Amino acid sequence: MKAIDDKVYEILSDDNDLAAIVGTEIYRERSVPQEAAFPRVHYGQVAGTPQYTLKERNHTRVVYQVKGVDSGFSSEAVNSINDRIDALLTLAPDGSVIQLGDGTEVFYSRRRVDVEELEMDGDQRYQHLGGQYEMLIRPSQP
Amino acid sequence: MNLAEVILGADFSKEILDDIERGVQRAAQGSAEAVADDVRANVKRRTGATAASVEAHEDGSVSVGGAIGFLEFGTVKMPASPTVVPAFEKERDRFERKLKGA
Repeated sequence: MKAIDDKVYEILSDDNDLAAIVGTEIYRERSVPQEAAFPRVHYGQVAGTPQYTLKERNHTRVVYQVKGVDSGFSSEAVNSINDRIDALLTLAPDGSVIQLGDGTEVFYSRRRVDVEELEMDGDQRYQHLGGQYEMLIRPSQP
Repeated sequence: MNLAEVILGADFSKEILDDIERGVQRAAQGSAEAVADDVRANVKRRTGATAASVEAHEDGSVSVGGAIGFLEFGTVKMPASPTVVPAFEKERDRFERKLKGA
């Protein structure tokens, strides 16, 4: 599922509004450097399940978690990141698709679960705000 | 006229509706137990408190305590190690098949 991973990163990193908040601090969940600055975006695949008809694979359902993370007491940055993530990753139900460049396309992408977490580490306070997105991927349609 | 009759235009007796309800409840409970077993087996363990807190309920819900929030969603120092959503996703299709057979 490298194509969808690359596409999620491309969508997030190409957005000027998101860049105005986090700069280039956009990381795969498992590759966040210790010295990474705040606010920042974490993204990563949570689950992936192939869907079959009686004869063949029909499409693949993946769940992506994408969230803003910030330190301190202000919620302004994580709220703005959260809004931007949602605008970028929600696919309108008008037949729009996202081509993944490997012969497949995302034909459904919607937030399924909100992710909201307050983390305390001594005196430090971290806010996590975002969502989990269900995406359906199928071979590109002619 | 009940909702099923309105939607399907059929004359459902109370016995049939009760059978459907019992079938759905059995399917939901069975799926909740499958999800709970999966989470218990795969959740990261340090003290075992999170795995021990997993409970499947009759209404088809699953509750998990301990450190599940941090494990599922990650922290600034620890990447997410999701177990609940993958377990739910694995069971989701089986649940739909069970419903069709209910």
